Amino acid sequence: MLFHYAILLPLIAAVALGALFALKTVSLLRKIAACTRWPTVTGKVIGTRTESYVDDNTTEATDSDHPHRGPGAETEYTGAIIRYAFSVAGRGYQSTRRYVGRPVLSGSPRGAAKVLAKYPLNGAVTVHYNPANPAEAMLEPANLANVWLALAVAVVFGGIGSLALWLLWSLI
Amino acid sequence: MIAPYVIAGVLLLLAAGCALGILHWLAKAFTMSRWPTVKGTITSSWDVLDGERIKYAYAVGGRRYVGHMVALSGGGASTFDATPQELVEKYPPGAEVTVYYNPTHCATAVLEPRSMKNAGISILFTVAFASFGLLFLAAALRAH
Repeated sequence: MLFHYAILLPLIAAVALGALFALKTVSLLRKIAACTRWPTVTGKVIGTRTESYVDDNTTEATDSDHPHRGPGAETEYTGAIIRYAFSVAGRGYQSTRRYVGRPVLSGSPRGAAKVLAKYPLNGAVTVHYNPANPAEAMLEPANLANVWLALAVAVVFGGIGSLALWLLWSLI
Repeated sequence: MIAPYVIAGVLLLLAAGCALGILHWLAKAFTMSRWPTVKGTITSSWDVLDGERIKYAYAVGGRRYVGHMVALSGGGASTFDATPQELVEKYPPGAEVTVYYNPTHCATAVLEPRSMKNAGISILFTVAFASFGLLFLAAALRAH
């Protein structure tokens, strides 16, 4: 019996996590729908850079229990940061937001390079700003990067968790 | 069999520990929310986007102060913390803000005394430990 519960608990947690991310997906879509209706103004790119961090697998990589893992096991995630300036009603603003949600970093630097090429320094950009708070602005309101991420987590955790839960339930 | 009761007990104790942390947080938040308020201005620049701290100026009794605290911090960074981008959207340079200051030490001030965002991780662990602990307890009682 205890064994069943020991398996059941992580599965329930996985389904709960899946449900949370499903709600997050809906909330992101609602926000995107609102942002695409925001007024626009022309702004200027005033800075570009890449931001990266290395997922530190050093411990595992040197662990004698995992000899198959080499130093190449560490992953570098990269994202492009585009800083732009714009004015609304005579007041200047700056932002680095490209789309709804936090920046989604990629395991390949090619994605970041593409973004940097799309927004050259000193280039003009169309800025969508919140009329109630112009400090809240973005360049790509229809970008679904965070929606796909949240949806993937919802499907993986919610879907696999539910399926395993159903299988376990029919076995008990 | 005593093992399930021990597991349930440990999980519930961990939940109680986290809950105590939240209660301590709530007590501090309650105290700060009763501090007197004054109007202030965001004096930090757009370089908050590059990691500069949020800065706001306010005056109490003719003396001028500069505050940095936005909300109670749990210490250390977590995914629940606001990013520089989110901070600057909420507190752009020149914006007028309501500052809650400690009447016995006016240099201590906060902008969001009731914010529970940074307590998110503690709430998450309390709920997780409590629900797992209760489930184990229910399983043990049922087996008994």
